[in-house]
Formats: sequence, structure tokens, C-alpha cells
Amino acid sequence: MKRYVDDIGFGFVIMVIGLSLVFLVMPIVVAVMMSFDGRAYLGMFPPPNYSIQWYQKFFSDAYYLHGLKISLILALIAGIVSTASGVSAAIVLDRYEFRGKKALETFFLSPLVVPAVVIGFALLLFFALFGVFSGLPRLLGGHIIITFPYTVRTTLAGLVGIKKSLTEAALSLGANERQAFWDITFPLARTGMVAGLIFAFAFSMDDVAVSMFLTSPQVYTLPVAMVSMMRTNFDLTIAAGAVLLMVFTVAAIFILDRIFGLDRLIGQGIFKS
Amino acid sequence: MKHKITRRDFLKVAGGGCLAATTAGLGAPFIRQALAAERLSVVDWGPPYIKVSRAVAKKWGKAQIDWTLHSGGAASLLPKIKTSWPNPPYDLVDVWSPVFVAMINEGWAETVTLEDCPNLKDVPEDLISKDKEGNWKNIPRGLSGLLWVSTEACPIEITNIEDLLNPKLKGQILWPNPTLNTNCQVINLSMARGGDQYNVEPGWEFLKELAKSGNIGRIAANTSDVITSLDTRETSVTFSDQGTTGGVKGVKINYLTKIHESLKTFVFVSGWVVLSTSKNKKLACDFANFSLSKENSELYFKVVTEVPVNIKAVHGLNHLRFSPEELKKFTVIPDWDYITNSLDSWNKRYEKDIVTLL
Amino acid sequence: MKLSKGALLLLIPGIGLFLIFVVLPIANIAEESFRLFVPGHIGASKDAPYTIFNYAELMDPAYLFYFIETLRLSLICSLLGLIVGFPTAYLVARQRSPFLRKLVVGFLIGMMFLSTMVRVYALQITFGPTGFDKVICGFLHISTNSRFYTEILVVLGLLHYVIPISAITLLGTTQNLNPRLTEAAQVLGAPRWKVHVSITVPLCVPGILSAFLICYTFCMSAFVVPMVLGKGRVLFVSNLIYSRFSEIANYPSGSAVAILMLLLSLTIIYGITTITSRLYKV
Repeated sequence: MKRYVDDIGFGFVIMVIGLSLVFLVMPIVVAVMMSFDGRAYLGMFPPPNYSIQWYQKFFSDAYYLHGLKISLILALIAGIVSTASGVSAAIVLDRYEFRGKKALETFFLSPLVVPAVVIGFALLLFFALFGVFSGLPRLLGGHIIITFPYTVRTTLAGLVGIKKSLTEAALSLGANERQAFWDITFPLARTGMVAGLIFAFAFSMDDVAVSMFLTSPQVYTLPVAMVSMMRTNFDLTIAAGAVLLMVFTVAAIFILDRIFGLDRLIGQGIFKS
Repeated sequence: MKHKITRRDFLKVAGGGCLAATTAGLGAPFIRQALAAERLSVVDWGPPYIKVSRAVAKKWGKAQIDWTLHSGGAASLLPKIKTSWPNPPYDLVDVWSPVFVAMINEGWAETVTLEDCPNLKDVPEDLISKDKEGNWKNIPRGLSGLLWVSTEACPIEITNIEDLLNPKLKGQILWPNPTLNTNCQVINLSMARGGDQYNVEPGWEFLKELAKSGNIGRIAANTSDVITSLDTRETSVTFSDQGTTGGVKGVKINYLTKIHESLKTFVFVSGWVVLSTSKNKKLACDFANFSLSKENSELYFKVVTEVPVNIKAVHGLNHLRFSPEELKKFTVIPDWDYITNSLDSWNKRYEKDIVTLL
Repeated sequence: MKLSKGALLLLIPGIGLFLIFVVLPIANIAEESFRLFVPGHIGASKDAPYTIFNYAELMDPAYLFYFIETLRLSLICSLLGLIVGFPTAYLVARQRSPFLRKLVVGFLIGMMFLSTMVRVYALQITFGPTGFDKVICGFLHISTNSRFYTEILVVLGLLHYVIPISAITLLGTTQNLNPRLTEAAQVLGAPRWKVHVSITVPLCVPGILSAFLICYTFCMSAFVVPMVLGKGRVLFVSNLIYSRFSEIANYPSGSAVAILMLLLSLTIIYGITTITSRLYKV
């Protein structure tokens, strides 16, 4: 009897996951096919003929390539700064008890709750007050703040389950606080921290709504460039750009795995299978 | 306890150092550029407009141009100008009728004269926006219309505005939201039921019927919605501007401009405004003037499919060619000042009454 | 542990960033929301009078409808995302074969990097008139043009983000679960489903909470997905704000909507966090 319920339950879960996987993959397949669309516009699916015109267009347009460069730089810096501060904050929130802790946790989530349009506009006004009109500091500020909640939360999720007794054991064996953190907690929570870094990088590369307000004539990001080009003339170059970005990411993961081993990088928690 | 330099400290310093170095590295070429020869900062629309502008700029060649593209509607440029006032980073912007009004009201538009832009003599004076004292405030480029179109995928032939309620059109109408086309679509609805631009109440009633009928398949929020929806044959009837419908390449468009007097065409002007804070006013006027010449106007028409304002230029948009009687019967030149000011309350009315019915 | 000076030091970068980039700009917006807007102009002028008009006009029931719609669809999407994400994270953590584990993790990470615009249009094509809309609608006996289907589309669009997000977030949690606990329970005779319900899930509650909050707030402030997939008929609060800021230049009204949304969401998050920590004494 118990077996049946178990098997049905397990089968149901597998089915749900399988369906979701198909659901997740389908638009990717469509996007790839779109990027090879032979027509000069976005029409009915499937495309009647194929060509690599969009990729050629993407690489030949200095406008896009400049945007790509800026996007990568922003994502890197914002990702690092955001992760460093987010991890610090998450550690304190997890280890310590103090009044207003829940309020602070909620407060740290607020950039996610404020619609991106509002953040972009608010930052625009704010920087103008201080006379900062250059695109780069404005965009950096915007990207750091919208990625910060993710880094805090994923690190918090990763710190859960790391028994305090492990740290206490280390302390009682003679380690000081810093050693206990770096040698015990940090490796175990690494998954959460790396997840935060990935989120920060991904959301910074992808952001349109905040960046739209904060760009300047010389400094603009790739997504904003793509949206502007799309305004009056739907252009499938963005499909080419997006597919390239995904391929680049997957390749990066593959290379990282070869060099460092993905498991070691992302961490496997305490209990390796 | 001896203070060890922890890894975190090191990372923080390294991060800060990288940041400083990168900013300096990125900033250097910009500083170099700024100190270099005169540059013009121009805002224009994405393709196909930018294609023409770049070609014209190349022919002109008197200065380097930094292009910025509109990333939202024309109005999304305005917060950037307002917050960076009195030093917005732009010299010349390409916008259209409703935005001319807003910019003139705010005092952002520089006065232009025949001396600055000699080619303006070939432009009908009615098309040039003026401020309260009658000064010329913009340099028009194209004359265009907000008009009704149907595609070859449309199930019926549209002969009258009441045809929109035909049950055969279920899900086929792409209705622009009030922020698109300055809500002229509702003005047209109200004109068909006895109202006008100053009294749009009949229009809201008509729109409510339309919403309840289920004929509206999608609400367009921007021009690329229009192009995509028509191209993918998701919808087949809409009200949009000439330039946008000219960008639909996947399906044949029927222009419903001279079919019936209930289907009106709203005429608008798109063109340049020189910002009153610009430090390169002469250069900006000169470039705008150059883009207005006969041959550049014809290039503009060919690529962008708007009617060039230069009366010497030749164009082939027959559906936008009106004889004087046709002008009276089929077109409307709206009071842009009034309808731009009403847009806020119209949008709120739309959000309250119409969206919930869709 | 009580807050030590060192711990306070760790909080400073986070709080500092927030003060500069969140609190001050939001205060600016809050101030703007109390000013009078004169139509035809761009935002409120510098010396506009103070008024609560912007908030008063939001008290209309139609606006309540928008807020409820946003909250409701976000809730549905986040819960669905957790239901899919948690088992996925658990199975990956327990996976024996390193190859399969790396494949799934790599896939999830790669999904995060698919550009928003492309994802949304690809979804529109997949579930639109040239895609599967007739199949799904036939299955559910609804019209392809109905509001219900549009709501489904929006939830699906948001799910496309939320599933990888929740799976990756929960990966950190499930990896630190002691497998001996589940083995012990099974040895003692519990069926697998009971083991998970009574052991696995309660142990992961703080992680599930974090994942839920990330997904929920993401959905609530979603902007592009409802804009394109909602066909303009399903409007989220962020779309209302966008039209006020970017199209009509009525910054005071947009600010008012934004502040209301901010207060509402923060209250909900605070409530959920407090209730959860009280029910499951962490």
C-alpha cells in the first residue's frame, strides 16, 4: 500500500518536472529558429527559409558591439560589488539576533519590490541632484542595487542548514571567528553565494527597464540598444544576440567545469552523494 | 590580536581598484572625444529613421554626430532632459506633434528663423509649430497620418467604422492604448457617434461596446507591438501611424484613408527641435536644414514612407494625397495642445472603465 | 549571538548602498507623489502645491482590481515555481551521476541568461496563433481570445523565469540536507512521501521562504512579461507606472502608484517572513 502511494507520488513529481523541462526548452528552440529566420521581419512560425543574416548584422553593427562591451563591464563590476556586500549582509542576518532584524531583511528585499521603472527614474532624479550625468556611475548604481536583493537572499538560503554546532565545534577547537567562517561556513555556503553571483551577473546583463533611464549618449547597454532598434522596426538581431549570449554562457560553464570542476566551484554542501 | 589581512579585505581593495581603473580607462577616450572637434548630439528614432539620418549626416559631413535612439516613446526622452536641465546632453531631437507642444510649453525649444534654416521657405507655414508669440519653434521633416489599416488577413472588407463591431472580427482588432497616437482613435470613435475631440463621451461608449464584443485581440502599447502583431497575423485591423504601418513587411496593408468619412485620418508633423540649451545651435540648425533639402526629403520619403514637408519633393503615397474637398471630408488636424493636456485624464478613464471589460 | 562590532561592520556596505541608492531616491519619489500635476507639462513643476489628489484618485475600485490581479497572478506563479523548483533542486542534490548533475545545473544557469525580450517573444510565438494555443485551449475548453487564456500566458511567461530562479536558489538549501535523516526515517518504516513532508520540507523552510520571496517579488514587479504576453489586457501595476512615467509624463501619479505598491508589498513580505518564522521556529 505504502509502495503504491510512494510510486504514484514519485511518478507525479517526475512528470511535473519533465513537463516543466519541455516547457522551458521550447521557447529556446523557437528563439534559435527565430535567429536564423530568412525573412526580414518577424512573421508566422515556422520560418520558410533560413539565413545567418542576423548574426552578420549583429557583429557588423558598432552600435551593438559598444553596448555589449559596456554591458559586460557593468555586469562584472556590479556582480562583484553586489555579491560582496550581499554576502556580508546575509552572514550577519543569519548568525545574529537583534531587534529589527526582520524589518532589515524585508528592507533589503525592497529593490525587487519597487518596479524597475521607478528605480530608474528615481536614480535619474537623484544623480541629477548631485550633478552626475555620466552614464557609467548611474548605470553601476542602478545595477548594483537591483542585484543586491538576490545575492542576500540566495546566500541566506545557502546558509540555512549549516548547523551552528559546526562553527561552535571549530571555535572550541581553537579557531577564531574569522577562521571559523572562512574554513567552515564559507565552503559550505558557497553554493548560495555563487548562485547570488550568477543571478547578479545575469540580471545585470539583461536589465532594460532601469538601464533605459540611466544611459547617456556615449554609455549604453546592449539590451537598451536592442530595444531602441526594435522600436520602429522589429529586428531579429536581438534573437541572434540572445542566442549568442546563451551559447557563450554554456561554453563558459563547460570550460569552468573542465578547469575547476563545476562541483567544486558551486559546492556540494556537506553531504556529497 | 594582530590584524591579518583577510581575503575579504583584499577582495574589497582589489574590487575598488579595478573599478577605479576601469572607469578611468573608459572615461579617457570620452574625454579625448569631447575635447576633439565639434560634435553634435542628436536623438532620432530607430530604423528606418536612423538609416536616413546617418546617410544624410554622411553627406553633410560638417561635424561628427553622436546618435542616441529613442528607447521608448518620444515622451520617454523628456525625463532625461528635465532632470539634466539646464544641461541636457542633446543638441537636436527628432519628435512629433504632441511632443512639440510639451517642449514649447516647458521652454525647451529654440526659436528658428528663415536665416538659420533657409529651406524652411519650401515648407507650408501651417506645419511649423509656433509658441504664443508666433515664433517658429521647430523644423518639420515629414507629414504623416494616424490612420486605419486592415491587412490581407482581415476576414471582412471594412467600409465604415461601425464595421469594427462585426462579429466576424472576433479577436482581430489591435486597439492602441491611449498613450499611443495621443488617443486619436477614441476621438475618431466619438466623431462617428456625434461627438468631437472636445467631447469624447460618445467615443468611450463606443469603445465599451467594442471591448465587450470581444473583437479586440490585443492592446498595443508601442509601435513594435503593432508591427509584430500584424506581421504574425495575430490581428488584422488597427489604427496607427503611416511610418509604423510602412514597416510591416510580412503582410499586405490596405490603407483605409479615403473609404468613408467615418474613418478619419489625423494629420501630424514629425521633425526636429533644437534645444534652447544647446551649445551648437548653428551647427544643429544647419544639419536640420540640410536634411530638409529636396533630395534629402525624397530620400526620407523613400525610406521612412512619410510625406516630406518640402513641397518641392516628390512622393508616392497616394493614400495620403488629398484634394481640398477630400481634406475636409477625410482628415482632421487635431488641437494638439488640448488633446495632449487631456491625455492624462483619458488614460485614467481608460484604465478605470475599459481594461476591466476586455 | 548578539551583534558585535565586527558584525556591524559587515552590514555597513549593504546599508550604505541602500541609503544612497534606495532610500534617498525613494524619498525623492515620495515627495513628488504629493505634488500637483498640471497636464501638458512634464512632471510637477518645482513650486507645485502639495496635495493628496494623486492618492485619492487611486482609491477607485478599478485600481484595486489591478493590485489584486498583480498579487494574485504573482502568488500563483510563485507557488507553481516552488512546486517545480524544490523537487528539482532536491533531485539534483541527491543525484549520483556527476554528469547528470552538471548537465541540469548548467542548463538552469544557462536559462538565466536568455535575454528577456527574446524569451518573451519566443513565448508569444510558442503559445500564440501559430503555436500551441489551439491545443491548450481545446484541452481546457476555453476560447483562444479569452481573458483567462491571456492570464495563463502571463503566468507561463513568469514561470519561465521563476522555475530556474527557485531551483538554483533551493539548490543551496537542499545540498545541506543530511541524507541520513531521510534514510533513518525510511528504515523506521515511514513511506517516502511522509518522510519528505515531515522531515525534508520543514528543514528547508527558511530556504523555501527565501526562494518564495525572490520569486514573488520578481513577479510583482514584472514589467516586460505582462506588457507583451498580457496583450495589453492583463495589466500589472508596473505597467500602470510605466505609462505614467514614460508616456504621459505624469510623474506625481506614477510616484503615488509606486509608493502604494511599495508599501503594500513590504507589508506582505514582512508579514510572510514573521508568520513563517513563528510557525517554524528556526
